[in-house]
Amino acid sequence: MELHELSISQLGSLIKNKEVSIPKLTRYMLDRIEKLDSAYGCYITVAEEKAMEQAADVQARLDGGNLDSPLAGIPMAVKDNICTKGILTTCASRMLYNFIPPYDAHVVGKLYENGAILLGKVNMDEFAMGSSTESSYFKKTFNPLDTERVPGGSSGGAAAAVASGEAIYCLGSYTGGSIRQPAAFCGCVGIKPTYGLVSRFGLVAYASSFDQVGPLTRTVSDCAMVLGAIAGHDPMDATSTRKRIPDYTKALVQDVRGLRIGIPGEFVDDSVDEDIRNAVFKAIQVFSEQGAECKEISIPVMEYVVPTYYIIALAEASSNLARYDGVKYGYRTSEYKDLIDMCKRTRSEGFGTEVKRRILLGTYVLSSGYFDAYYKKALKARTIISREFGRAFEECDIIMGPVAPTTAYKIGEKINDPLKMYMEDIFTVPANITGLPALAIPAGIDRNNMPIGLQLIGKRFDESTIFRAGYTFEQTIGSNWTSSRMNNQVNNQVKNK
Amino acid sequence: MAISRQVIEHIAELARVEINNEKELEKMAAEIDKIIAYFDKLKELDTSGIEAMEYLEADGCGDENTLRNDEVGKSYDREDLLCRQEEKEPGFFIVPRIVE
Amino acid sequence: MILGKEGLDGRTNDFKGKIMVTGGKTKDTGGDVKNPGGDLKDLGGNTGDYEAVIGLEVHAELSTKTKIFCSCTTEFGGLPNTHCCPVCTGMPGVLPVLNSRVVEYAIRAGLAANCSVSLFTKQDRKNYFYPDIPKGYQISQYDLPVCKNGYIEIDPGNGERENETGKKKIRIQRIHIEEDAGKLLHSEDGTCSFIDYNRAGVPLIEIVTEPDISSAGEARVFLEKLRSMLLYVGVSDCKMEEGSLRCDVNISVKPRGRTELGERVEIKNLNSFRAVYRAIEVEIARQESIIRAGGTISRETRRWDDTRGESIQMRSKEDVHDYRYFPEPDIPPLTIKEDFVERIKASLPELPWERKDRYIQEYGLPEYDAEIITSSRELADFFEEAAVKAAGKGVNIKMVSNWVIRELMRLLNDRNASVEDAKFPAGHLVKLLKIVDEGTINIPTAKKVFEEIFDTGKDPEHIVKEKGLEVLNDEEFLRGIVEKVIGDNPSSVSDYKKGKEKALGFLMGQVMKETRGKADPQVARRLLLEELK
Repeated sequence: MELHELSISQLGSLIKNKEVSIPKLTRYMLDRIEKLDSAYGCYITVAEEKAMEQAADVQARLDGGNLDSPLAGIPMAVKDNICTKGILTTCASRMLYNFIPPYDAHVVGKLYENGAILLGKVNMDEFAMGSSTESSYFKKTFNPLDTERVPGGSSGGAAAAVASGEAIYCLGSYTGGSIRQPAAFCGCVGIKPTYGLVSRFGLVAYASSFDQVGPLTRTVSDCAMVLGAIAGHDPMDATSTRKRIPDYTKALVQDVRGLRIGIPGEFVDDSVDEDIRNAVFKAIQVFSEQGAECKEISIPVMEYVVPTYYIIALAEASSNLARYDGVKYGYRTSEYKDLIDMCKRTRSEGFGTEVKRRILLGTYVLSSGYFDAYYKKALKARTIISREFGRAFEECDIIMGPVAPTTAYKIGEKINDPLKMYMEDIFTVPANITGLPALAIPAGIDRNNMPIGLQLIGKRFDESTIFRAGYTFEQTIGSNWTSSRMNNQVNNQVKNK
Repeated sequence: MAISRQVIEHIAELARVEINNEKELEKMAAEIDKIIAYFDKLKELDTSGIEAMEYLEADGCGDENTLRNDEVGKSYDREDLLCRQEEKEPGFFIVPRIVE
Repeated sequence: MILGKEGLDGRTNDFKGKIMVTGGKTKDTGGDVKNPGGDLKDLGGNTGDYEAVIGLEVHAELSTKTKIFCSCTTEFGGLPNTHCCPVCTGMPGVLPVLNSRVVEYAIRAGLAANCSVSLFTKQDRKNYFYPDIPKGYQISQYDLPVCKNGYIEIDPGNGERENETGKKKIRIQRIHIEEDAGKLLHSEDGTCSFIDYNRAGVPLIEIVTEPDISSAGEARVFLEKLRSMLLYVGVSDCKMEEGSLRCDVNISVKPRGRTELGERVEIKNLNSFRAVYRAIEVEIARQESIIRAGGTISRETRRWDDTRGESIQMRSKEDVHDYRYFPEPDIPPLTIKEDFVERIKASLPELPWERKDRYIQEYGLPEYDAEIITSSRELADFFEEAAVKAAGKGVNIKMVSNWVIRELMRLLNDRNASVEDAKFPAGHLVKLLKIVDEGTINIPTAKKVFEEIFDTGKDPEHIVKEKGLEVLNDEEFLRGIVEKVIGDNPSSVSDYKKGKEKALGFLMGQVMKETRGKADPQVARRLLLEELK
């Protein structure tokens, strides 16, 4: 196997045994990006110089015995809405085309402490608003498994980089389904942690009460390792937890005996693609054979989750994006009459259509006369939805279903129908609304050879249980099933390009 | 259309977003109208007597722990906060004249 | 000319000399402590056919060490944008973390103003665009302020006494916490504005009264009372000249006796208590004349121009803001524990009005004197220390209070100093008064000695000895001086003998001049009269 196909722990032992040096591994990854990225468009910024410096530095720290982390020397990439000191952070928007943060996001600082090597910043939907990475101001990202298809979004660049081996793992961010859905579309593993588990400091805000950072990886163990490194309290984020973070790698055991898994009927109804439904049924079979207790449950409010989610998210977004007014940083229009005109033109030219649409919608639901009918109503619906999930978790330990109703679709297929795009989020947004952790893992392929994602939703701060279930599933159906087949598929796409 | 042009224009004014192209405005208004109509689905849901969930039950929520002590930390070099080259020397963020 | 990118070329070095402060803030020492002569008793008339209904919104900067949501210093001054970080300049990705002292101080102020404290409180976002707020919203409080339903009692002094104590209650509707905005400055050529975010994120409390105030005078008395309260409980330094105390006024005028309120007009940019007073007087007159002429008042926001003594419309009813308040998702709601509130309550000092009552009772001070002395905690502390020592030395306390009000405050005003800066202990004043009492020095000399005590901190006995200031009452010595003066001024002597009383004054002056002001005036006068016979 080639270096980029290896897992974090495999690479870790190569580094430890001095079979490969960190600078050499980093160079290898940079070369690979250089070779492949014109085909996939994963990266907005490749931090080549900085990565090589870091590689030398981390190697020295490791050799000096000053570093003990499984992530030491492992090259990774970060979504471009996570601030990196001295490195361009654009949110894939013209609005921040020149923004270089003077500080690191908490999660980036954590990874640096662990000796991670930052290769660069990966593409996304503008300000994380989208599910296909088609709304990036800079470029489109193509699904490495079929370049005619989208990689999902908003963390599409991150998922594509992991799938194509342009990064060993990535940090994505999640507001709607922004980690799980691209992970599913690209055949990767992704987790949205419990709200409050990972600090949001330095993550450019979209919807503050939903935003979280999470890893995108090849395997469940890689995912557990990275999450363990970034989770935990940060004094700069008042919403971050003070709970002690368990060692997630201890959860990586192949044992689901007695685990109660609930499958909501609403998650496998006719709206879901048949191949995906069958993959979920197959998963039920796998888990049952491993000793889990699978049963059908019902979450009747499912039809309200998408409007509830969007109303709250867009309300918050309209406020969070108000700081982009041309005054302090980022884009400023070149011609204007006065201050207000400068602000309006800057925002009109700096934001893309989808972002403007969402700002307008969010402003609308908060505005005088509509506040109660939409925003307040959605907060009440959130209470009901949370209660229903709470009740469901009385009968089970995990709720299982598909990540999305379809697999990766063709580029351009849905971009012109925003409502259709929003409705794609139906299975991922319940975990957002309720703050619950949810893991996406590959669970087979559809008739077009595109990967299908399976979602495991856990109880609050119970990431360990979904890791255990995910790991068991992954081991049972074949460890890292994607690797050889996926690599061939990826390589074929490069040849075709 | 359920949402009038005036409402869209008012909202755009509030959000300081300018849509100057007539066609674009029509299209935006139509899409927003469609999405709001979808949001209206929530009206079916009976929420009488239900409290609005303003916050997720974050861990430590309402705890004094979420507060900060009043201890002075280091401020940043203003050169690092001022992003535009022409602002670094005077040390101010500079905008077109504000008429009060 | 519109300033585009090229507009700044070649001019960036000239900025320093070309910046002027926005709004032309008047230098107000805010110091009614230093200006006791203010017409405290004149509370403005409110006796015509119309009556005014006035409510105030007062913003006070809290004297915490750090800003409300980040650890930058709140120190006043400093080069522009040097007390800043990504949080208070609203950079992408940052989050606010609430300063615990801000909550404590707001509760402190609330308890002093008889408010109830909300045990569950939260922050909200107030959304609007203005370049002095870097995030496009201000974090404030909407429906759950930290404190609500309080009151402060004032002496209205115009007959509207509501209870037997002669006080009028001004109800406090709410006290909430919020962040201050940055400061805007404008280039002299009028092309661009400059933003300094040093003040952005400095914690404020906004104190909102019910519309219980009915005249400009009451408003000023209330503000003075509020300011001394805030100073006493130590939550704000209330320096109007540094903008740490600001006030907006809501006024409506209605025919006397009518119950329903008129449309209210808000007046902003009031940078001194004097400005508040004048703006209210002017606005009442403006509204009255409109109503008299058959017009109607419309809801609007006006801006006070202190140099022109008039207000100008800022916003009409049509462009009333839609602030789209919603709960701040970055800051979890706060549960305030009752024992926390109790602890704060227990730590509150004696409040100015409590002290004033005590001084009247304990020391027999006239109400006016007690009011002035207790208007500042430092001044009252000084007085009290002196009063205790005076009692021990048998010095009259009324004399102490007179000296504090007249001489001490005159010097503070002259030297533009505050009591905290005083270099001498209160005991020195008492010692001085004792020497005066004993007749060792006369009053004019005592005033000069006090000035020296004030400037140098030296002991009064030491000064008197060192300069030989003891009163000259040695009759033999003085008689010699008197004889000399009479001999030197024959024309004055003859004037006096012709009946010109004035000449005596001149001769007295000559005696004082010869003795460098030390002659005991009574003895000198007697001797002069004897010799002139």
